[in-house]
Amino acid sequence: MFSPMLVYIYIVFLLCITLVATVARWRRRLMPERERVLLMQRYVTHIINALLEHRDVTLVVEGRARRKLLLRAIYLVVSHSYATDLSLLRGTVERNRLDTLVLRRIRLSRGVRRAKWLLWAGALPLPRRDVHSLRRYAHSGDKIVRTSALLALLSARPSRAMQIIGTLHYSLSPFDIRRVVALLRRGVLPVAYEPLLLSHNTNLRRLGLAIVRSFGIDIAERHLQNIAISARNPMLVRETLYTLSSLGCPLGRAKIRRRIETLSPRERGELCRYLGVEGYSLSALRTLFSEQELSRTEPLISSYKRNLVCT
Amino acid sequence: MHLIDILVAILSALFLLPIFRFVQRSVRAYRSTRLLLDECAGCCEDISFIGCSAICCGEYDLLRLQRLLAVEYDRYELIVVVDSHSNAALVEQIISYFRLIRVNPVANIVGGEPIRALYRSRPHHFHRLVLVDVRSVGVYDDLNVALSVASYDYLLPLRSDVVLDRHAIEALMITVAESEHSVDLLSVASCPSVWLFGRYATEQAGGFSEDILANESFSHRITIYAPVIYRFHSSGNVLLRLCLLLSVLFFGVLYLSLGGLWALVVAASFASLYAVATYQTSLLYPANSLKVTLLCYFNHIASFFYLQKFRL
Repeated sequence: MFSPMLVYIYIVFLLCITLVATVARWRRRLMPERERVLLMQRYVTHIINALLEHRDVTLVVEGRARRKLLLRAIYLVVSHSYATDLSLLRGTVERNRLDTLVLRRIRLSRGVRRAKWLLWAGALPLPRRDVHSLRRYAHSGDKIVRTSALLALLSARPSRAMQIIGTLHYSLSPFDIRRVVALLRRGVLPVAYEPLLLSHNTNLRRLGLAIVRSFGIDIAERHLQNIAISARNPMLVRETLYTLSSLGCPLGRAKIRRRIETLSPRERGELCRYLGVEGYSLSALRTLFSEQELSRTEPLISSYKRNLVCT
Repeated sequence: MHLIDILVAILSALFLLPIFRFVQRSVRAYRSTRLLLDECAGCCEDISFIGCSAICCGEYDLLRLQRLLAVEYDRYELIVVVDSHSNAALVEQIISYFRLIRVNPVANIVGGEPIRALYRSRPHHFHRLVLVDVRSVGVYDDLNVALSVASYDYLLPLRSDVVLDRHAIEALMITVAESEHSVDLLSVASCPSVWLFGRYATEQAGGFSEDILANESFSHRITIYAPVIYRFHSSGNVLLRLCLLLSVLFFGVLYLSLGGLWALVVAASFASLYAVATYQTSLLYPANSLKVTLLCYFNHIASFFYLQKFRL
């Protein structure tokens, strides 16, 4: 006789799915959306006014939902402002025990939620021992967690940014580097590109290239050309060539031409098109690419340039 | 009956397991995309120097074009392929509204009709709009013409009923940039009819066609699970829910009247599918309606058995 166990397992599974969905919807309804928005507005306004007047933020809230909302408001303001003095937030962080809340949630959560709490922790003035406890998350197997932990550590200890990035055991992705540059733009990290470009660490060099590109630092051309000529990492060479072209630097040096010749046909085609869109003339491109490679880019360049000038 | 019951139960479980895995990936991708793109302002321009050329064929709606142009990503352009001989007034309207200027036409790379006229936008706000006037003989020829005109390395043909999320292009470019190898083809799990084509592989394949997805040039393929691109909501959701509930009731009645484990198991499968789809729809709103969610599931399972054709 067939056991009905299988059917019962199926039904229990179905009930579990329904229960999970119900709990999820119930949790979302703990605080009505309108109330949440109004509170956020209030907290954000209060924090911005306090920071602009350079006085301590004196918000005190009750309840875990409101503390979480306050934490979110702090992160929202800090992540969108330049050179925020985090010491002004110390009082409200201690009075509302936001540091305890965030560290506990980091410990108990996983995946994207943990990454979110790590980002929020980076906006708080945490004591040294708490910052130290975040270091283990920078070596997590989950990419989004380790990147968020890295950003939190860089925000907490900007003077040790080079050391933190230099000791990473993995390569930073282009978007991760962009997020670090965003910290620079907020005045959290110093804009010192030269030691980064001269470093032998690939992550630091790529960060230096991103800084040069982001801030349009023309005077770094000599360093970039040296990297393009001497670097062994093909990804680094390619990125340096693109950085040079984004600055509008000439690429006619014989050693750089030889480096471009080592790229694959696909990469050469992409670089040729990139240079055309960046505004390099046909005569400049003819020194770097063959006529066949130029045949696809030349019409594109003429469609961008010729009639626009006449008009 | 004994073996059939077990077989049906196993098949139902095998049917549902990929769906649950799909849901798990979609929800995680949705959360991580929201976290990264909503809270990392100003760090999405020019990721790894790759750009995206979105392509619309036969699109004359000014509001839709404006929405498609409202993309913050730096290296992005919108190419609109039109036929002025059949819709002269609408083309003139686009040219005057976006203040396009006529530029030198471009020769076709992969064949197709010769370009009658090429227009580019001049003012800063619309500086990324390209209008191509060509005799329309088919959607694949129009796409090949757009390929010749495109400035960037990735092409995104868009259907008229497709909606881009606020950070859709950024999400696609981040996914491409973070891939270890050069991406030839990127599929969007939340919208099975949308693909991001690598320009180099598309040229190697001889241009766009219905069977392009089967071409061996597209060796490196990845999928993005975040629901950043989706189709318009369907108005038939209520009817669909009713049909699903009736199906469950039908199998339940069948079980009670005829007996048999298989009816109950299939009914339980439908019910769990419905519950999961409803949960994902509510979580990912407004990215997916219930109907689109279920279609994505079935498409995901069908993709294990056959290769889709590229249809716009």
